[in-house]
Amino acid sequence: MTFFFTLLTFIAIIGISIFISIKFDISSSLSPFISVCFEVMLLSVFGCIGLVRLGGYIYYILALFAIIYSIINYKDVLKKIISPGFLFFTGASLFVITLFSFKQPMFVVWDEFSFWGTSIKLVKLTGEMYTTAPIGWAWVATQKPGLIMNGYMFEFFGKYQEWRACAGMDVLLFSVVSATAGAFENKNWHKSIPFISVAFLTPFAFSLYNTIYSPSTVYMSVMADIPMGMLFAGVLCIYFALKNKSSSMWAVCLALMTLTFTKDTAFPLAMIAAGIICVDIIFIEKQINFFKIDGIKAKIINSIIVFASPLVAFFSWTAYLGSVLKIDATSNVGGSEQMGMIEMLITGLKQLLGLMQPSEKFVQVMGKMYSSYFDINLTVLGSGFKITIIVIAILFISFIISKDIRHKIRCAVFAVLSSVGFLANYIFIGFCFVFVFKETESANLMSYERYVYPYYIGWFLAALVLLSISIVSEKRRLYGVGRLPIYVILLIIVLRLNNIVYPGFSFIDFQEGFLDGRKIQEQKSQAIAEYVGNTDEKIFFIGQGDDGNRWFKYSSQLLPLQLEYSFGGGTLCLPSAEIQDDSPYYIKITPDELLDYLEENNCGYVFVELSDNFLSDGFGHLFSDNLENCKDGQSCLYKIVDDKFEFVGEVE
Amino acid sequence: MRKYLLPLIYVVFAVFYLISGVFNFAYDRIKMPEEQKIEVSQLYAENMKQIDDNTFVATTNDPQFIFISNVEIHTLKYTLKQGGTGSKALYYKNAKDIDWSPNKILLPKAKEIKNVKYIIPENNVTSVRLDISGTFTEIIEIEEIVINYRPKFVEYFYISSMDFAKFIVIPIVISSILLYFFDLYEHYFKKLKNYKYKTTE
Repeated sequence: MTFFFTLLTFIAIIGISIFISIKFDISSSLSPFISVCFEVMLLSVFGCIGLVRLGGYIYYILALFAIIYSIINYKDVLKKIISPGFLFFTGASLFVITLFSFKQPMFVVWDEFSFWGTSIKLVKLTGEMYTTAPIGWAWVATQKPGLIMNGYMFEFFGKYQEWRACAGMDVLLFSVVSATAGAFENKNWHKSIPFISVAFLTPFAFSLYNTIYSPSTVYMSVMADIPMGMLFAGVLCIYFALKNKSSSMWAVCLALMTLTFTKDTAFPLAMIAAGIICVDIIFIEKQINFFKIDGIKAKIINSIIVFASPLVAFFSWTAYLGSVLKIDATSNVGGSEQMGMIEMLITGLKQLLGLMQPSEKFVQVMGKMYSSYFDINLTVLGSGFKITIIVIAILFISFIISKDIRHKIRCAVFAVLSSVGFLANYIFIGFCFVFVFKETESANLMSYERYVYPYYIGWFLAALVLLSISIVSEKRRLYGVGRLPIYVILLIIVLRLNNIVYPGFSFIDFQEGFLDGRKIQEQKSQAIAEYVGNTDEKIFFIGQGDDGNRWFKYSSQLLPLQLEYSFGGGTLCLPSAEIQDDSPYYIKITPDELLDYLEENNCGYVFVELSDNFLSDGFGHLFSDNLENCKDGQSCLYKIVDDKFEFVGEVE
Repeated sequence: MRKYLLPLIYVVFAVFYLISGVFNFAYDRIKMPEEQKIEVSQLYAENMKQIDDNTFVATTNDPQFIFISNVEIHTLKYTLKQGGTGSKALYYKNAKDIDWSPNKILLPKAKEIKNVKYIIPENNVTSVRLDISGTFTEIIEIEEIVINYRPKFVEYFYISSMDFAKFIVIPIVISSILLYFFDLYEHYFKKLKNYKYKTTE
């Protein structure tokens, strides 16, 4: 049944997509992306005013009207709707929804449990925004809601299942892939195929670079980094590929807002995209109207609206956080230096330009950022420097082959502005490593690839779209030249991925065996839920040796039951215990302190996921069975009765 | 021609798929050695410890059985009583050349993990590596391993989700490339010919 509910969400997106296409005369390759953006923003707005479920129902009602409108105007639909991008979007989405309903992928990445996946589950279970929904521990959820709302939309009807959120994320990504073919007419469908193929493989190509030995989570995750890069591309794609920009500027603004709502670090990308688009509107676009106003006035008005879109989204979210969580998200970016965003930028720029003595950490981190740009092969196409060369080469070819002088200028200006944007974004990431990250994290540029590749993804795909527009208007004497590089890039990506992603390691054919650990944990969570029933009491978690990973998983899986913070992982020992391997995870605590802690925090149950000698020797007497039932690695649940933990049952 | 290129490529793919299935079936029926049951003692167990006659426990996340045969292996199937979270098979043509680099991997067509069947798509294969488990401490109890079992005719036509995706996508990409060459030919060579004709006239 969940398959049909997931399909229903997809049909709603398709319905609105068709409506947008015929009502606003937008290519059907571009309309799925606009439809997804509309869905994300509608739910985000309703979520912020505390009516997320109502927002969902309104979306489905609108989709119903859109479908009725499409049926009435079926002649227009048949004429307009068939395009390579739209066919890809529909086919790939249906394939993934069907495939995932059988294979049922699950979340496996830490951050999916600590935020991205858990948030979707919280919204689904409570019907309120994850920012305020009860979770059982000090949940400071300030990340933007866009992707969570998209995941929630695919979970709207029926039972919560992780594969549905993953499929929803894929639908969003496929809508961007579809948009890369927006410039082509149907009769030239074959010209769009390499573009769609490269765009589809881009998330793999830009996030993998070495042989992988376990299934890749690309297209099988709700993490935000790849979608952020793809949405950055999507914004530029629809702007460049839109034929009637005057009447469709709202779609660009909507996409910019959606990009801003993806993740905190998406804001700089949205501002760069908005800046590029504004320059294009004012200096390059021939004519653009704003209702009945035309000329330079219309251009300025459109630019202001475009530039304001990400700002409005950003400050609306900030205002929401301020009103609901009493957090001022602009005053402090947190981390090691506890600086505000502006202060961080000014201090960083001063040190960079030599107006202030750079700190040792600044010199070390920025030096490493510089060398990483040339040395680290973070994509299958090579290092950041090589990607830059490829992008500039694509733009150069686009410039050469186009016979449209305006488009030539567009390519040249984009090359300059996007390079400046890249530099600004790269330096900003460097500042984050200097001023926000701890010494240990910044010394190794921890997760460097994850922070950097979204820009490369967007930059690369936007350059491809400009190339596709050049191909449409190519010079007769250079006929076919523009298509050669895209086939070469496709060939390189396919060959490289074929070498590093073995059968059984992609989202299409992954071996379910790698999820067995998760499935066992899910079963245990369900067993606990059956034992406990409905309760307001929290569950205290003990998982000896856990670094927080298992705690986060159970915290997410047990919802709506609330897992207590449990010292961040529940690895306990007596203060007198001698920890031989000097594990940093052991919390030294006395039995009396533990009992006081449990009472203070309204804990009704203790879940011993994994016991060890430190636990049984130090705390065994608190348990009615002296932890005998857990001695061979079993997991058990205990009920707290006065100062004793009564054995409830084995959890398996 | 342009209009029919894509359907034509699909037809070629479908015909090739059917013929290769029939050919492999016929070839195996003629050339395949006798069905042979493999004793556990004939397997090299890597990254696992034997705890009973037919039972092993995984000592890492990558336990594997290696089997080097004295006859060609055309098909293989195994049945487990316990365990089986992984189900990949790697095959090699010559035991001497084994480098175990996983560039020839087979995945079972069905989702079943305790009763797995493989049809090896190449000839002269004499060694296989079975990644039966993918979980540290997993208990693996073998019921039986058989090489050169006789698959049913339809088993030669089973396709995995990846095969299906490739079957849909590859013809589209091929036709796009061919149409690119057609475009180049029509633009540069046909025009050139026309120009020559015109100048001669």
